[in-house]
Amino acid sequence: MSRITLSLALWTAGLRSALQYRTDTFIVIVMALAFQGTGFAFAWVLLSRFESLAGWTLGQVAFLYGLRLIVHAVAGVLTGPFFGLETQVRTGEFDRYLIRPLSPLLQFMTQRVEISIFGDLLGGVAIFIAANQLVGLAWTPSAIGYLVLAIAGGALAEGAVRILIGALSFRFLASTSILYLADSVFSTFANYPLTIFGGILQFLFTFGLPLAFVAYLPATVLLDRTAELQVNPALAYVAPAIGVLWIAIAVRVFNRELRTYQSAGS
Amino acid sequence: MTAVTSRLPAYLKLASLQLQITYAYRGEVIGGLLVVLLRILLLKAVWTAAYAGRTSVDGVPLPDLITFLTLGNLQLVLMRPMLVWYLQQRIHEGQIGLDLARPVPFLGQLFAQQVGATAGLVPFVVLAVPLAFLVGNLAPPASPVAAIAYLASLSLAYLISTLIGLLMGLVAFWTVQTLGVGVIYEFATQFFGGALIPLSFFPPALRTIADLLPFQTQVFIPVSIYSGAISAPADIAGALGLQVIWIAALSVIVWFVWQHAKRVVTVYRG
Repeated sequence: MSRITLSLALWTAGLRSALQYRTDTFIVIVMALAFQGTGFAFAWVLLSRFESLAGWTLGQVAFLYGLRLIVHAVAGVLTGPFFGLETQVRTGEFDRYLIRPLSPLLQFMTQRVEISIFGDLLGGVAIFIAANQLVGLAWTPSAIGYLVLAIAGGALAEGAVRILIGALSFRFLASTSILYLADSVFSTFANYPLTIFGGILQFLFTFGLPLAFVAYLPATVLLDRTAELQVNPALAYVAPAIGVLWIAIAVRVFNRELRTYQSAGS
Repeated sequence: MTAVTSRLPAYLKLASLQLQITYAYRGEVIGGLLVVLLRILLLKAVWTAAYAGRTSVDGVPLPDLITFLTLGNLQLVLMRPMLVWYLQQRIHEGQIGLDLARPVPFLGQLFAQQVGATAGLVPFVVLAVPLAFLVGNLAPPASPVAAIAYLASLSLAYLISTLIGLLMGLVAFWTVQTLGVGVIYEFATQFFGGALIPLSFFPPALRTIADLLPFQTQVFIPVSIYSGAISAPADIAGALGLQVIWIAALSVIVWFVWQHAKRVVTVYRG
């Protein structure tokens, strides 16, 4: 329990320090909204012209889009600092996490909060609510329960990818550019029904990267579209558990790679 | 004119320095190009799904559309206003005082640096062309005339991008920060320029907005000339004319803003 209280205290301190820069906070949120807004405006204009995309209506694509953004924001709550891990390893700043009595990974993830997650959350919730007006889903208690689990599981899956890539920093002293690339892959492809991509990409985005588990598979369950899946529909129902599996592996790999950390040495 | 020629060595030096800086950051440049290729791949998949087996919509065949989007997105890489980031950094570090003291006009320095940075990008973009062909689609220009008119239109588009870049960069004299406005600009050019959806597919109200903004002159006009969608001599002349009008208008605005910016400059650590 104290581990959780301690992490929470560190995280809030990180958030408070990030919020000190008010203009920056505002600008970063506007930037996140501009980025996601452009992506969504594209889908919106396209679907108002073409009516459907691989059988998905505007409301359904918006549902997927909003869900993906919410998951992305939740994933960023703890994994934002990974973009700076490479520098902290290079400069030896990472040392300080090794001398305190709390897991280095937890300390590292709670040191700073990426403000852009609030922009993503704002945009995601707005799109998701609008999408719900369009698709008119019946929110049964089990659907709500599944949604909550799916958001958590999706965030774990996306976070696991960041942890795995970040872990490269210890051995190779480089990870930031790969992180940005992986982030682009998620924010480019995870917002659309996977069936629009070729078989190879569908396979890669399901079994190579857990991209399908972030929002697409859960969305097919909630929108009752599992019939279109190439994989067994059962996989869509257990999507949240796949996120847990990915994070378990990622934490293990991170802690093992951590042993190769050599500090800066001077 | 003689002023420009006598300062040419200085401008060339500034440009070549920026070229080297672009090369020094080649990892970032390649990363940025990969992101563009991913975007092209997505656009191809989404548009192919939207066409849903139809060979042509509104008279636009699917391969032509993909070529349009591929070229438009590649072209935007070359038109990135790097001087915005550069200027912000100089103001942050207080180096701006040094730049202003140089015996070469400040706006000229910025322009030379922008051209140098773009020149550094060219080899990378050329290397990305075969990949862009693989993930998207590319086709030769509609005709020799289209090719020549495209190059003219592309140069004008580059001038427009640079002028807007200058305008955004000068904002930093007041705000110090330009990151926000730079990023919003990038998405506005993508969307209203027509690099995601050609303007011909825009709903009427949105099309009107796009027609009033300068961004269409950066993507939609040059690529439409390349593809032959704008092909009658009068139409080509009209399109190039519109670009020239934007250049004139933006030049006046830049000059006006610069006259004011000079007076508010703060040199940190100065």
